[in-house]
Amino acid sequence: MVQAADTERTAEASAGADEALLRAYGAGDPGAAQAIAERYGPTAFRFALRLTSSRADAEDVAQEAMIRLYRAAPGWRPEGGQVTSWLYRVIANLATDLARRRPAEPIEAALVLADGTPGAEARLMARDREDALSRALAQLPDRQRLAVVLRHIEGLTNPEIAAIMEIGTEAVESLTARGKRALTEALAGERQALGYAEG
Amino acid sequence: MRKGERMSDESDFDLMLARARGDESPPPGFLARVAAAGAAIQPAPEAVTAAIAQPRPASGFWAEIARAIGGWRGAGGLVTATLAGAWIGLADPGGLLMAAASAGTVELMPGTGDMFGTGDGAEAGG
Repeated sequence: MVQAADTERTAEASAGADEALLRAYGAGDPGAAQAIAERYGPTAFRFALRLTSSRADAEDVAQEAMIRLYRAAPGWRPEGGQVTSWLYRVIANLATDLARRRPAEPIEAALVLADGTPGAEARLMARDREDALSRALAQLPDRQRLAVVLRHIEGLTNPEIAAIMEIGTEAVESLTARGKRALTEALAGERQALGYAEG
Repeated sequence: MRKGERMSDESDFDLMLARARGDESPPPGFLARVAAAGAAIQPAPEAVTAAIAQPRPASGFWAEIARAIGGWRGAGGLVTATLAGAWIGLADPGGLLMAAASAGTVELMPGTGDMFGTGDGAEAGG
């Protein structure tokens, strides 16, 4: 109970900080554009990456979503919900539009060469794992992928996901359950790329 | 995980998912580009915007007079005319009167003498 109350207070404080930042941007505060980019940009890129399975597409989608956020900032109303929820919704729509316009392409192989510098091999392995997850996620239907990413990668609750996807919580539970099974099977096929030894 | 082993357990799934999450950080320069795009479309500071959008009109008696005569252009013309009149009146009134006298009488209606029988034409004919 105490933990739930703490979580609620943290969410309220975060929403207050969101609103203050957007209001500062709308009022012409010279540092607000940078602060907004730093606060929401990494989340926007990470989420877009999981939906588009391409770093180039993710960059385009995330940047467009951030520009829309800047445009919405001067007229932002607290009742519009949390900024991150708003961003998730915009990015999901942009990614869906992108997929409709352009069929999915094979995920490009990582061209990280082992150049002998410290950490090069680790970076190569990290990129391999990232590509493996992208390939696995790309096998899921759009809405299953969206629900699974929001639930298991972004860590949102089912009611939060329901609000973003504009469906009921029961539908969210169904989507995440089916999506999780499908993703588990897909990831199992990527065990070598994920660094599991074949046995 | 061994080959063929199923991931039915929640912790196994989360572990595999965590392991699959590689480099999720944005590419270099991404945040700077986003911030620059945001700065380019940012509204101007409120105070400046308000001052530009709604300049406070001057009020009071003299402001009303200035508006009535056409603003600063009208006021400039009025001042010029006033100074010219003052110069004509004060600087050389004698010269001006002499110039007017030497110019003679100007007939605005030359035929009025004939009409009332006082002109040269009537006397010549009688």
